[in-house]
Amino acid sequence: MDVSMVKWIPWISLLSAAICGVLCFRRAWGVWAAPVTITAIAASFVVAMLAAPSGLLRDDDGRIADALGKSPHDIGQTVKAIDWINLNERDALMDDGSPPATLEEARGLADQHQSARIIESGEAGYSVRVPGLSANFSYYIDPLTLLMLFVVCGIGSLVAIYGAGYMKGDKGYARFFAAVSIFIFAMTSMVMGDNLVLLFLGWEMVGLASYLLIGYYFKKPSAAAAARKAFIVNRIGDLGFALGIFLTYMRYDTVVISEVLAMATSPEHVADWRDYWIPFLLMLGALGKSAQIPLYVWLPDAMEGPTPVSALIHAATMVTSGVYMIARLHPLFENSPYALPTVATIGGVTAFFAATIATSQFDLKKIYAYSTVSQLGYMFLGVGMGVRYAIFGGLFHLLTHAFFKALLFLTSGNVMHGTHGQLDIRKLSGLRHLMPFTCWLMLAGCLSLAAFPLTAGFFSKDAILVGVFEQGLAETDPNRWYVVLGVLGLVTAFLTPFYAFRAWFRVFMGPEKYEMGTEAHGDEEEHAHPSGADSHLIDEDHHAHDDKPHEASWLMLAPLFVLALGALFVGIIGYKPVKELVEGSTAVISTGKESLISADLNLTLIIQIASGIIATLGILTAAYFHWLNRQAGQNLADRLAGPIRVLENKYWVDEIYDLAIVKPLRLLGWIFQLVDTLLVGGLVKLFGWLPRLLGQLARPSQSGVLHGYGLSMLAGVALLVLLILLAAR
Amino acid sequence: MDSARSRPVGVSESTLAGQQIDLWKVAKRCGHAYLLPSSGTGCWEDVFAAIITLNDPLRCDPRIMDSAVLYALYVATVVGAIALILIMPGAFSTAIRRIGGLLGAATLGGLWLWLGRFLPELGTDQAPFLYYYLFSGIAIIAAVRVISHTKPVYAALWFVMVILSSAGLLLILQAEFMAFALVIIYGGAILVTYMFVIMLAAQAGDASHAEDAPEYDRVAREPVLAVLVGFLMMALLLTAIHEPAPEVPAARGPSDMAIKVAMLTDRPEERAIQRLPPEQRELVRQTFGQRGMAEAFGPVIAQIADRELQTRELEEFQAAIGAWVEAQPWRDVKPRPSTQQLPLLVDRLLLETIDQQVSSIAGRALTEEDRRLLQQTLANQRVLGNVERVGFDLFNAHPLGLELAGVILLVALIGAVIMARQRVTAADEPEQPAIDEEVSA
Amino acid sequence: MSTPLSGMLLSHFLMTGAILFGLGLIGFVTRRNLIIMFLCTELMFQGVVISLVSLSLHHGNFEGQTFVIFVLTIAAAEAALALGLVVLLYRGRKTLDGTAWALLRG
Repeated sequence: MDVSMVKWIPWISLLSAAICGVLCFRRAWGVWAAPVTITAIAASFVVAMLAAPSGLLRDDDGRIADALGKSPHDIGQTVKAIDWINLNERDALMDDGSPPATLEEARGLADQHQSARIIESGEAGYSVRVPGLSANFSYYIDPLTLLMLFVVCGIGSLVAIYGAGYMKGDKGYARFFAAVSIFIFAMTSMVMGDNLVLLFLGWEMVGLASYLLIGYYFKKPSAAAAARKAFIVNRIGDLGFALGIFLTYMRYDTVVISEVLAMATSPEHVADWRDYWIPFLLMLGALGKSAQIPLYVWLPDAMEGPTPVSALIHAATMVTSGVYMIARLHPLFENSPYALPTVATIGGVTAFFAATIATSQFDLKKIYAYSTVSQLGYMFLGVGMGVRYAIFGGLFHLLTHAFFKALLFLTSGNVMHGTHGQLDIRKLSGLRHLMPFTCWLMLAGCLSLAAFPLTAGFFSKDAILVGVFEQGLAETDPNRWYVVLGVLGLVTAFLTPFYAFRAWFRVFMGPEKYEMGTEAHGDEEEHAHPSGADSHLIDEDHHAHDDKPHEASWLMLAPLFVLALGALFVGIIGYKPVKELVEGSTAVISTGKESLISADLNLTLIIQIASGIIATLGILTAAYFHWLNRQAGQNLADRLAGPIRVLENKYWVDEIYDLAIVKPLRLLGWIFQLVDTLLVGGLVKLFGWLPRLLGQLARPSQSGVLHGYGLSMLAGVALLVLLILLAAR
Repeated sequence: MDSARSRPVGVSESTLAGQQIDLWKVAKRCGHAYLLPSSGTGCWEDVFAAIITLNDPLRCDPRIMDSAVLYALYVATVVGAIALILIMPGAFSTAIRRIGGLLGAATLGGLWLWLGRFLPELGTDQAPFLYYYLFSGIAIIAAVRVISHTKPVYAALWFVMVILSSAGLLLILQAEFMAFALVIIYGGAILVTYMFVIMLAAQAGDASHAEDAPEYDRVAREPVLAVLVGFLMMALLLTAIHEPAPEVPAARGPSDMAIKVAMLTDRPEERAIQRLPPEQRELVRQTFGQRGMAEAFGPVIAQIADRELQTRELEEFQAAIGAWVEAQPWRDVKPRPSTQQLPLLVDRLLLETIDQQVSSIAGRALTEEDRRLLQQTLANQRVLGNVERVGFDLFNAHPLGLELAGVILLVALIGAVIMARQRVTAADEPEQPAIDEEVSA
Repeated sequence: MSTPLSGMLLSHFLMTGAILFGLGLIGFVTRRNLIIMFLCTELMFQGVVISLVSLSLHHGNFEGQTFVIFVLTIAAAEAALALGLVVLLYRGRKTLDGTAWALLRG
């Protein structure tokens, strides 16, 4: 399949969104929304997997070529779909600064630019006119794009299939899938966008889809509030992102990513103050979207959305777009001496910070939400390194995390589904016999999350840590701060299995004990009491409204098996291909290949062994306190009541934000309102009163009597005649 | 001044030279020139001799300046205003109103005497002037009665008086049709309608009991202010009337469309007429009527020549008349030959040309009988009397306006019928107490 | 053929027209009887008619006289409608006082 086919990928989903939108009109039509959406996403996946690889630059032996030192124009292909913004046309010049002399030269030059047109001009021969600001719906296909398309469309299809079962019978079935389709459209546009404007457009549209889906149960005040919070917090980041794009355009006179990167990595490029600021502004956007300190607070609340949404958007795909963006624009970050360390530090600290919170939460989805924040921190740590291995680790972790975290969310969705919305791990215990498949599927996810040796998470997390230590222990110019971050990463690597298995042991092991939830599956009340007319839409296991947790339907389980296989084995299978992909992408154009530490120190092996031991220790700790001897866990918790309370309350960050930002803003707003009411409003009222006063003064002249008006008119005419006579003189 | 062009066709240069320059000198000096008919000898020298160089005796008489007339008018206006204030109902007692009436009549009479004091010296026929002063005076006095009488019926009757006297004025102005139309339509139709309405609405009381009239008839509203403003207006109008006329803009050439129309016709005089400035064109067209000169004069010329005419001869005749129009012998009578005397001049000058042409066709000098015949023919060309010409103008120049006027009348008729069916109920009235409350608030 | 306007002044007739017009105006704004108010408008029409006809004669054409016909048309239409209106108003309030209708009072 030709590479140009990729331009259809986003539009398939948009079409699906439109169809689902139409299907919203009749509830009976709604059942068709799921097949449409699944087909669309799967079709996107197929197109992406068939078309995109043919556009990649390959070595002589068929492997994807290494990107080091190559031009972004070479390692990726640009596919144009629709003209959008083309402004400020100017003449393009050859590399040596001269206009093209021959037609061939002009054509060659025109091929290097978007929307270029060749003009025959009298003496100079040919001139190539190119838009100064060019932002079209054109797509840039490089290995990184391929990787992201695989994650987005692949995980997206699986989650959509799961969602077809999970959302069955819901009132807004078609609405849900319409939003999912919009999300896929936006996300694919974003990862394929060849310019920052399209990237930003996709970025904002995934934000919109996220907002719509978090607030899916918009009748629930908490859901609506969570949607608002996500939207507002993201806007803070996006402001920075937008400013970053403006500054990029100021600096490079273009927003086309490949051109920007080509200029940023060219040897003649001399960094100036704008290059120092661009990555920080862009980083702000990434922090918001990927829920890093200090903008992470929206993600835990976002779990108010339906569980498939949590899995797809708030674990697997959308929240990783910050990582994607940093990887995509990595050369820009490298141009600033402080940008990457900042990214890494934020990532490392967030990873640890969120993991500590996750250890003390009781809500299953909240645990996984903080886990997501923590794992995203790992990814930031990875892409925040200047070494290839860490960048690869970060992006590889993006892939593996997509698998296991989606799996974990979806299995927790099964639990929720089976227990009518009960997610409190204190109230669930020993469900392994009641929900056997869910139990073992979640185990696979937990193992991968815990980075148990040979699972997917093991390889990716180790790649990150190895990269961090490589930088920290570098022979030349080592940066010891990275060692600290690496140690922090190792500590987090202990906390991660602990909180993952804490939840799993609590829910599935131990004595069988449960309290059913009050909702159908925690979402919509109406669901629990289907009216007669709608009953045919309801699966029988919804009908069996007994008081026992029950296993989910096969429609929901099937995709989980695929995810579980991925969570377990994608580390082994995907290691080499993903490494190839990452090393052929723009993320590493300017990142050297050679190892920074001496060859006799086998860092990888050391880290792998250490991390394996740590993971096992974490699992064992969790097993002891939460399965084998829960009383001991309780005793320990009692003894550590103070710190645990801090953690349970998430360090009171929300409260601090409320006190430090929301309250002062409200006060400011109140003051402004006062000013508005008294000063501005008073002025307005004054201006309102003045004409009224004048009107009151002039009122007696309007006697309403015909004669008065006639007399005034007569006087007026007399005056006019007088004026005319005087003027005629 | 191109004297060759301004000269009447067929007039020898020697006969013209001396007098013409004198007359033009006089005309230029005064700025205006009126042409008066001569005693009717039929000779064009007499016509010019009869030119009265003074268009406006009051203005051009060396003894009186313009401002004097105006001052007289202003004085009369002020005194008249005072008189009218006294006359207006409601403010003063009957006796004072009578004094006011006398004052007003005296003012009018004084003004008339002042304006007419040079009439005997002008030596022209004074009858129109006398009639003018008579009718005008009656009209003004009647108008004052209309606006000052407390009884609507009498006001309406006085208004009939206004109409009758203005009809007299129109007769002086040679607008016979208008005069009688005014009497019939106004005096007959409209005033009768008024009478009906007055009877329907206002139960006119006995004339001997003036106090029976309702308060709104007995008391005028703000008469002083209204009279002052109204007389200011009147004074301004009078000033405007006595302002010197603005310079006549240079005569514009004919429009392209007019030339095209003329080209479509094969009548030389029509083409020439189309090329004239608008006012002159109108004048000549009235003289020539609607038929071509060749058609009109053809039979007469044949009778005089006592033989069948050749087409060429008629064409030559037509061409000569066209050339006469082109030459415009009357053109330089300044500033604008705009009064009805000019047609007479045009007739005479034209007859000269026609005489010449006819005598050359006939091959002999024309007798007095022949001339009479030609004059008669020319008079027949412009046969129209006042009524006919008004009708002609109406249908010729304003057919659409006439139709619209008919439609307006029809609509008014229907509207009156519909309105007569309406019934205004008391509910439509505003709440008087509410207004009072507002006032007190 | 004698011409009555020969030595006579156009301004005389215009003056008469102006005086009639002005008197009509004064009457319109002072008299409170609706019928008399409309009579006064007719008076103003008379002033206009005299001006039109005298100017018609002055210019030697008949435009002015033609327009008098239109003036008569309007006067007739006005008489029909305005008097119908007067009757209507009189029915509503049993008075002909023009000042009794003051709905536009500010």
